Amino acid sequence: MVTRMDAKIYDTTVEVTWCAGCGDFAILKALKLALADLEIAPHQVLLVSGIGCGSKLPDYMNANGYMTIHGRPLAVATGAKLANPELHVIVVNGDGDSYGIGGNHFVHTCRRNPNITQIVENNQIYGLTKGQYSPTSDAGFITTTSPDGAIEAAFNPAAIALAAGATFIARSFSGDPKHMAGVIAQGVRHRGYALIDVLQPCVTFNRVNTYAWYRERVYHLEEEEGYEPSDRTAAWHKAQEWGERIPVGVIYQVEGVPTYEDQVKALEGGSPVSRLLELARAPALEQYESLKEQFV
Amino acid sequence: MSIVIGGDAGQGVESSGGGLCQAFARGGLQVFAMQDYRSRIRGGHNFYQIRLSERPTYSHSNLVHLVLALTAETVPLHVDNIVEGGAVIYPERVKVDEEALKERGVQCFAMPLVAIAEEHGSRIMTNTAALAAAASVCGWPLNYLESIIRDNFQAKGREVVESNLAVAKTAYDQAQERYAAAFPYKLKPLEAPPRMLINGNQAISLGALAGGCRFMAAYPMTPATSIIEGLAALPRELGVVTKHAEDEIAAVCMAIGASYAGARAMTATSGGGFSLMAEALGLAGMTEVPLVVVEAQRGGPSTGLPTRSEQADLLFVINASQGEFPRVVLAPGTVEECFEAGWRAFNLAERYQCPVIILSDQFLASALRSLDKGAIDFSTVSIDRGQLLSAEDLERLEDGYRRFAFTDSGISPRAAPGHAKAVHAITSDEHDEYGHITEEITNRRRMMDKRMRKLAVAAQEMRPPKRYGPEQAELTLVCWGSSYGPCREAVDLLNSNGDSANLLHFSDLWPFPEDEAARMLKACRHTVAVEQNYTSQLARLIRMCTGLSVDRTINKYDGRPFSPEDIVAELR
Amino acid sequence: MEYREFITQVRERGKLASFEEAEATTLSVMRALSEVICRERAVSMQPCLPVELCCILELCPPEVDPFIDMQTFIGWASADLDAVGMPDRTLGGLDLFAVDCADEAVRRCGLVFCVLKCCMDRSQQEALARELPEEVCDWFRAA
Repeated sequence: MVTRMDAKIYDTTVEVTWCAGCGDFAILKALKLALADLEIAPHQVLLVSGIGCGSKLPDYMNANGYMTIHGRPLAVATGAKLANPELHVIVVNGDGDSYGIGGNHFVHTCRRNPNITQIVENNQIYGLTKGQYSPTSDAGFITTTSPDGAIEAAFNPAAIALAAGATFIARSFSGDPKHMAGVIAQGVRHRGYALIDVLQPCVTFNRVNTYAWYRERVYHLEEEEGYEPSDRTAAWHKAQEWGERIPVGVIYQVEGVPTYEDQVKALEGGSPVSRLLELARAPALEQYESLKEQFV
Repeated sequence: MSIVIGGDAGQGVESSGGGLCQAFARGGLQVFAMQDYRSRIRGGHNFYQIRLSERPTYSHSNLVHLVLALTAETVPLHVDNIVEGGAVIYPERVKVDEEALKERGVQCFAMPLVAIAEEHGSRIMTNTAALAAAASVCGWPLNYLESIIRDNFQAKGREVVESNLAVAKTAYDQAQERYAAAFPYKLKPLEAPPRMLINGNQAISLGALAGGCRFMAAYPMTPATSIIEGLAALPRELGVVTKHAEDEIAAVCMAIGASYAGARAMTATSGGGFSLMAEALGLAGMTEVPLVVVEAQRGGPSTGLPTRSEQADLLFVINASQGEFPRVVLAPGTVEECFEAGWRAFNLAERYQCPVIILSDQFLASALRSLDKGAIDFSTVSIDRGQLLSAEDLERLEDGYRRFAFTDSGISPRAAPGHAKAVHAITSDEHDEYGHITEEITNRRRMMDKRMRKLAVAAQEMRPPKRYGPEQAELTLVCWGSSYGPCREAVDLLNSNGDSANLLHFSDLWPFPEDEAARMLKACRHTVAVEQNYTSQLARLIRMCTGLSVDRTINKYDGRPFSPEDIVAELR
Repeated sequence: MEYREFITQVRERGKLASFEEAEATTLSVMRALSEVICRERAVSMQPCLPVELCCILELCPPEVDPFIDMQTFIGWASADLDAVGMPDRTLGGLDLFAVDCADEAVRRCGLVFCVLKCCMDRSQQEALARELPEEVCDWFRAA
């Protein structure tokens, strides 16, 4: 596969601190490939991440990046997008960051449908803090904070995203970087919020959900005859599928839904960034005088 | 003269109070109005206290001349404050102990307000009848109230307007006939240019707008909610993007994201919301992203007294968030200062690339004051974006843009993302000049020095406390934020009574103007800190920063703002 | 070569603790290999290998993912390396021993490659090497 732009433009020389074999390497590679194929230049991208191993990704890529605080990248990303809709805003964070502490922002972003892509590095464990269970850990998963096995049912990102109104829901597996690159490109191209939940092994702390474990279960939706990602009911059933068989690919996609920014009337005449550049040059004071009348 | 309108929550006290204020303001009187509400949707006593004068007023006053009691509870609540010859107007069905009132020299003006309202269509117009009766006994011409009725009920249709006008006329005439002669306190319209009736929140919004704020994310929280609502109601062509976020953390993070992208962005909340925002404040400080946060204090701790006022978050706001980083805290004392803080905060935030907190409170946020239109002067507003790199600057950048470049002032040239020559990543971790994560010792020391150096530079433009009253006085009231008004009037009361008093008001609180404050405090004979909190936070801040102790503190922590009379009484 | 023989050689060359450990490592590396080789290659290697290992190679996907690099390859091979120790009382979680995991994973790939090469002639080795991701190819050639 040859991409339209050379993906090396995104490379940096920063020392990567991920463990050898970490699925994040493949995710980083796939993201670079996707952006290169879409011919999006580094300065046009804003990567926003939270806290976690995977959230260090912006540090390892030549693009604008904001590594924020745990659970909050979606909110920061949304603000940035509303301020300057020209930026390609991509959120990259882990399963704990997105579905745990960030759960509230996750659900509301699905409803909100901003034109933002989110890649969740879902390794079903907390890696950076060294081995506790996460919202996507399967019930029974034994860790230092779940010594008798995780009690709660696992968080189902696809189902919750679907229920909350997300317009693009996909899953991929870091063992399939080419598939990932394709799905990410689709997500970025999608007008609206795109969730790409990437299953990725944590080779250091997660002895259950390994490459082999995922490979045995993962199957590509693209190869399933008759599967229509635009069919919400079919998507609901696919979203429930987990365990013996795990579908990857685009689970649900609907085009033509207006994005959040499309519907913000205050954006019609320019963005907060562009307007401020004008105002700083030439403040428009007459516009404000008339506002005094409402107090008289 | 002061008029109180009291009723249950759900009886429309806010609308009535607001309407009455406007009726007097349009006739050229200076108005100061404050609200005292319970935090309930229905039930529970609320009152609106309106002070009217020919001269500008800066506070409410305890002395009440006329009470409109829409519910029985109003009377016992205010009876001790009613002056000799003052009166209570009340509708049928409100039980008033007339004997008790007469004993205190208070007149009882019973009026069939409900009947009048029902006669013209609906008892919902009882309040209109009450307002008209009030205007009548004060000798205030009806036409002002009529113009208010027309404006305020316009949206509800012609019939509603006509019915209310009819109710007003009937009540006005009846009150005129029965009670006007007996009521000694009269108000006369004055020739005056039209004035604005405006509160602190509205002033902050105007200032922010003029200062270029075009992004505002917030979560509704009393008493800050009207800020986002006011900005959201602006004409869309002005381009102010507002977002009611899912929670305060989302709100402040959205503002940070918008600011990072190059907009002027703000959020507004109260103490509880600010508590949630604490971590994000550190994000802004560490990543040197400009941010403006309005914190309108209310009674705490925890849910506390949601609709009441307090000044107990000062030290919290100055210290909030883990670790140390520069921030600026402004605590405007008047509506005019709120307007200025609204735009000045953004200049400070962008100049020093740090969070700037405008610390207000329920009293300042909601109390209405008459202001000459010229007092809000948009021509005084300047937009100074500090070291933001312009398009031309960005073109001239050489390889390897360093977002956090070490400089003498600690302020690094700032690029908003989007230009090919300024691709960079920033992180909440400790970082090097390029924004890459590093824990290296020397870099850490230099980076902390760099960030904190900005505080020293900002300190140079922090204003010293301002004095009101004679230069030399026996007694100096030391106050901050919204206490300005009551303290100022207390000083006037004391001086007119033959005492000798002035005040020092702090409105720039962090970085603390240490040298000036010390110099001015040392020149005082006897200092009394007047604070609406339990632990005298300003007094403690003064001691922390200057080593100086005030001689005495007056503390009020019952959720009700100081009145000038309260302060004077405490001093006796 | 017989299956037991293959595993034993891996164990002896690598001085691994047990037969089971050598077996786990071998299966992991073969599994990783199956991710990057084409069906034709897998088939051509059948005569050289014990049937148990042939089965693993047959799991190869119909289309090879050209973007699987040495990190993903190592990921498969790292699965059975023990990288964690006691609970970390200072930072929380489990104490990490992963510092040498990368080297160890590469070493073990090398072990398996070494024994694999013994089963293959020159031209078969070359054909396989050409299908391996860059650094993995180097390890194979050096083994």
